[in-house]
Amino acid sequence: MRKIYLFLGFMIVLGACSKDDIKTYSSHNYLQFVKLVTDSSVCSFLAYPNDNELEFPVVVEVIGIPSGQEVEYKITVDEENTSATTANYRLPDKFSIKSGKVCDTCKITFIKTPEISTKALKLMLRLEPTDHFQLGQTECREAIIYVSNVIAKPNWWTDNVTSYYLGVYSDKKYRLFIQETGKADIDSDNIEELRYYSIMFKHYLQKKKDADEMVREDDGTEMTVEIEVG
Amino acid sequence: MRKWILYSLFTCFLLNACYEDKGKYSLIDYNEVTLDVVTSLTKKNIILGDTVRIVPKMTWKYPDRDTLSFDYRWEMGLGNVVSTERNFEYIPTGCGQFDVNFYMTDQKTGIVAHASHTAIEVQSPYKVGWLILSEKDNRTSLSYIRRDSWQDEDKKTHYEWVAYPDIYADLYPGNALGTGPIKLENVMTGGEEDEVMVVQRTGGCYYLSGADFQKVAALHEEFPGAAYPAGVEPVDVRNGGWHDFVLSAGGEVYWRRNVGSETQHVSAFIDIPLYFEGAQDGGKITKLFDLDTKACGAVLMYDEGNSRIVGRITSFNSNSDSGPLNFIYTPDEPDVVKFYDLTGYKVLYLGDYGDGSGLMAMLKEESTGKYLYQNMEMDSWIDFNIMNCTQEVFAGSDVISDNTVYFRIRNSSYLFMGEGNRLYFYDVNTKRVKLFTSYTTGNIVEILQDADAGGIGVALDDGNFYIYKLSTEVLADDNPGEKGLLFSVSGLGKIVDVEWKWGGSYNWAFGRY
Repeated sequence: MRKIYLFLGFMIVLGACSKDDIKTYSSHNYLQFVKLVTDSSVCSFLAYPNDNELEFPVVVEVIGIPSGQEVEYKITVDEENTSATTANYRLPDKFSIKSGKVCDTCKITFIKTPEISTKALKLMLRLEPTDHFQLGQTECREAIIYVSNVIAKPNWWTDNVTSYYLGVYSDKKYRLFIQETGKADIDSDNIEELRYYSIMFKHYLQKKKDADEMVREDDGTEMTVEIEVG
Repeated sequence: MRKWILYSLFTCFLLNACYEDKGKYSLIDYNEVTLDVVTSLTKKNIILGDTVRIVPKMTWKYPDRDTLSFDYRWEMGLGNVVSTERNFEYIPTGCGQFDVNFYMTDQKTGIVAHASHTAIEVQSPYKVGWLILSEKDNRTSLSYIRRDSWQDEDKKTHYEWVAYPDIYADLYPGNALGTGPIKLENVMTGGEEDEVMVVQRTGGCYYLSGADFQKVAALHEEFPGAAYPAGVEPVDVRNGGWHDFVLSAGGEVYWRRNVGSETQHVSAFIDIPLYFEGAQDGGKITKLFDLDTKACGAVLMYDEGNSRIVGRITSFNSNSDSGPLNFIYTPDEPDVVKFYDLTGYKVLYLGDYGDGSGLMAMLKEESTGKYLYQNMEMDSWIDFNIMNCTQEVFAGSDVISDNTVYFRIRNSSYLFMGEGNRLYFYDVNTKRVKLFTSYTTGNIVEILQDADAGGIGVALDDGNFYIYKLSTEVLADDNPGEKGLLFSVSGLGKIVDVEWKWGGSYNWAFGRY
């Protein structure tokens, strides 16, 4: 009796396996921005003091099968939620995803105008559905970019940077730092990078001082840094 | 039934638990031997290429009994028998430390006596000694001199010197160093290892292995992008532990922060030269003073164009950043010429002594031509503090010139001076100058002490190098050079620099061979 049960069980196991085809994607093609709408971007002219126009990259991605030919997509400006004007930006004539690709980087051109030195202006982009693309995730259908030339203490100017590298922050110091080093953004966890550019800036201040052109803060005090090495 | 089976099994086990004791307990008064070595015939610390010799010395309990019926066995590693002779002779094929065990078995009783010979050390033939950099046949030549020692039966130490002229070319004939030799620098790399930096004008500057002088790295590879910044031509380097420095011919000094005080080839030099504030050109350095960087805790540099000495704090101990030097004089005597303002003066020499507690300077007052001798205490804990600085016209002014070569012995009170072909020494306590020796040819280009100032090396530009003993007895002699001469070698080429090779951190840290 037991043998019969074993034989039956064995037969059931054999019958459990079957061949199945791999299913491929067969739904619509969706398009969305890579970044969430809540993760806004900043296009700052601070790091490019000599440039009047900057190209800012915006990345879109396809949820679906890559097309065998170049396919256009559509981006518009949400005027209601945009404070920038066409004097501040310029969109490309056409947006398209190349053949065989699932993402594209389009370049939005921002123009330096006087008002962005006093306040940041907002540009809200919106993806529009087309014959080829439907809209992707809700939170990725819009992109917010702030364009600015306003100087402000960057996140990387931490207490550690203040104490051991660049000293107390001031807008004037930051602007000069960018001017002399070409760096508006530094990885404050990268000690080598921090030290290198701090030394560069320190030398600038020292040379000015030795040439009887001491750099001063707006309150008249000598502009100094904390880093001693170099 | 079960019970009977169990009882039977138990009985069987019980019977087998007892067995006959076949041990021997009768004592044998054997000929006990105490093992030692014949010191005068034993050589356990050797240079690679030499032969290890161990001659056992046997002291018998009963010397009149047969002491020949023994088997001998020498093992290096468990079970690895390398010799069955009574005396051990072995030629190692590599450097390092290894153990040798000696066994002698009494053929009659089978009793084995054992002695362990640990710490047999095979050193690189080039570990510790004198390094001499010269120009020979229009190329850079590196020579090396080693001091060997051995002890006689009375435990008295004897020394002999072995010279390896042009050793780099001998070892690597197809891989020339370059041309235009300038400087040497011994670089500590941790433990029992070191490197030698060769600075030369063409062919590149190289770190050479301290074990076999093989090229380890090129200096330009230690800069970002594996290339010197534009216009950099190294003329001197200084190994400063946590910080290294490179002096360029244009007067710029480049530096790097190492990840460890004896860790090389990990961090890159920063391609921004040091800026020495207080001068519009940021300093144009003509010289890195050849001080004991570890003892002084700083690298002092001659900003000759701006008439000052500048520098950077550094350390082999403290993991702190290398800041600028601020000379603070206590007391601040107005008549003493200050390092931060040498207007009207020229620095001819700086020498440290007393394990970094003292510093002396030889200055020339340009308006009068007088040679001034300064002596001071110093410490570089935070600032560069100079205490009790004295200044006087040098008592030996009539034997020196602007081209005199100096060396302040670090462990004693003597300043050696090489003026042309004459070598003098000055006693800083008695202020007396005495001729040590003079040479028939050549001019003195370098004077340097050995590890513990038991000797000095004197290099001449005609390729001769001399080693002298430094002792009170020698210095007091009417002819110290003749009395104290230990060794000499010639034909080294046009000597440009001499460096003491420590062989590793332990010797260097304790100032010993």
